[in-house]
Amino acid sequence: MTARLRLATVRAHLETQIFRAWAVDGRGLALYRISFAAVALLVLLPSSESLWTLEYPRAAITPPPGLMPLMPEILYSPWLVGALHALVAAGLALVLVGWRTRESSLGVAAAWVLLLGVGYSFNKIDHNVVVALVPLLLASYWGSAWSLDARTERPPAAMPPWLMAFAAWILSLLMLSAAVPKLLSGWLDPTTGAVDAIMEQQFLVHGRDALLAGVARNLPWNVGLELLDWGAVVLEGCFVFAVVSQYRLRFVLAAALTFHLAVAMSMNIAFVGNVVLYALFVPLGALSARLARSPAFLGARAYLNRRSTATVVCGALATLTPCSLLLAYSSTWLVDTELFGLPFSLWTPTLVVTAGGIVGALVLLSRLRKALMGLRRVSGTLLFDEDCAFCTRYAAWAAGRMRRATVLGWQSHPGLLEQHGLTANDGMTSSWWVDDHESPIGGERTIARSLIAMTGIWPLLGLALLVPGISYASAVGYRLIAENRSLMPGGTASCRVESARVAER
Amino acid sequence: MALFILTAGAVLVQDLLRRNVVEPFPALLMPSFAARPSEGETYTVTVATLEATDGSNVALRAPATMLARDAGVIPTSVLRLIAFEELDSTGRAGTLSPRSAIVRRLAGQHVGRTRDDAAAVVDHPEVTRWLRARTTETFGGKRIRAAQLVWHKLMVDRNTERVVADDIIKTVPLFPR
Repeated sequence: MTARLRLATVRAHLETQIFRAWAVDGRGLALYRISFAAVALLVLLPSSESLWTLEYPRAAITPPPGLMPLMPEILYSPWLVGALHALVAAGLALVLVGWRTRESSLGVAAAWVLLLGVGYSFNKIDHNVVVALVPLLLASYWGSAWSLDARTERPPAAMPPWLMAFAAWILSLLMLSAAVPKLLSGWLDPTTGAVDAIMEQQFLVHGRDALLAGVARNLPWNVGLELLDWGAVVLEGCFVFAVVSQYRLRFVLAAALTFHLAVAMSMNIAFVGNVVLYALFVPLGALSARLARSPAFLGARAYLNRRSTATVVCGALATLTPCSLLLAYSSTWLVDTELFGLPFSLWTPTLVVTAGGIVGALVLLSRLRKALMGLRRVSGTLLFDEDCAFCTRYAAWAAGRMRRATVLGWQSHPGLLEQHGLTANDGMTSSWWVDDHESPIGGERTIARSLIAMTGIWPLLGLALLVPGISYASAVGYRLIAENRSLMPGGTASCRVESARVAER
Repeated sequence: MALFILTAGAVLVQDLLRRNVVEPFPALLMPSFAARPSEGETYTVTVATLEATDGSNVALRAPATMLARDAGVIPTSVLRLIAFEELDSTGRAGTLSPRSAIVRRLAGQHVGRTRDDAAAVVDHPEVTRWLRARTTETFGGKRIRAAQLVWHKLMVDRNTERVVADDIIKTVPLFPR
């Protein structure tokens, strides 16, 4: 019965997360549509087009299992590859202005998948197909605001929350599909190299030596590289656990964006498709509301409102489509052109990944700041042994840096230890952090808590002492200091505590 | 909820296909990379060179990646034609850039893995014509009498980026055959 009840509770929680929590703001989704179309036109499509396949003999065509073996061979003809490319570009231009958004989105998805399929048939696998499927997922909804469709009497419906949760689920599965092979191929084995090997492969073999690649591979970080191997697997695996909560998913996304920035800088690999996918889960509602009040937006909107639908559609097709095609063709012509050592084809993707990485890093810093503020708001009391000069010295130093917390010697306040369920022996063997909410905290965690309650940079040190791994080392360090506090600066014979009593703690 | 479970099942099947056969298309999969044994201060790669003889019996040598010309990338199926690279254990299809630092440094070598059953592909008349045309272009339009691909296993010093060991592991004549 209890198990059934638990199952029902978990199911109810999941259904709440899936069917209610992912409410989508129409204007936020519109902003995503416009951003998606712009990035796809100017960055993704030019870098994932299949024009390069025209360089190779048809004998090299080996369609992968799935859709492509069903396609006629004429699909690989130069004119049809070119036509598909132009069709995707034109469709994206229409998606951007939101004209017949549903049909345009479906057309873009179909043509783009076929175009990528041509490249896949030459076994060049870019894993961008999921980005091409985004218009398919959002076709019926993302034209509900800031679009030409919104001018009509029957604008598109609002997006149901479950669809957003479904998109998050797909993203988590995608990331899991990257994590599992890593796990199985020995990324966590200390005798193998993974990040290290990719970095060398990129630098030595592929010639990706731009930006910070040279600096990164020369850093003396043997242990750091093994940690990066672990970090990459953990980060990718985290998605599937974070997907049940928007707050957690956004935290993981911020970490992933920062990770992609580091990869772009150190290995010159720009995961621009990932950044575009992550952007779907950014709360764009607030940003779009602010944008809607800006003079530039109001001016552009007034300008477009004065134009007929036909004029806006023709204008978008006449400007955006040629721009995208020009970028795609120029990437073939300018293949050897470099900027800061970065090949032409990587300029705009790296720019997008950098922008995403900066946003991710800012979000992480903001979350860290909030966590610190939250921790610092919790008031408490540091109880110390007044008979020990070393402890008294630390207490005096801490008292001058703490705002909300108080520092008390337990001998001067009879009954204080007992009030928190502690004994005099406890007081002599350790410092304690007590408050109204938690059980007394002793040992190295007292020091961490007191540091967190301080001003300046000390809270960072306090948080670091609580990180698993560091906390074990700090526990050992605390015990050593506690047992030998008479030998510490300021320590006297009165500080001496028998080892047995320390061990009792 | 059923849709969520079905999608997870589909991704699982696609991943199994990728690892055991070949990646299907379209697939909801992300790229992954296999770990490799740590080598310390060196890094081992297998590279291929295009080596030819012109009408005057002068030996010519260039990176096999030069066959890619302006495309900038060499997809795996083309590597199978010219360098016989196989998919790695995760099913990832590699692409190579002619900008390779090693390629530039060694003036004529690129990465690839050997493939024994490649002869049939090279014998394809369209591929032979394509290889002849590309080889001629690669060597500035010179009349090429014979060409072959030679694989080297190179050990590169990570610090100096110099090749410290070079073993020829395979030679495949392209034409005449």
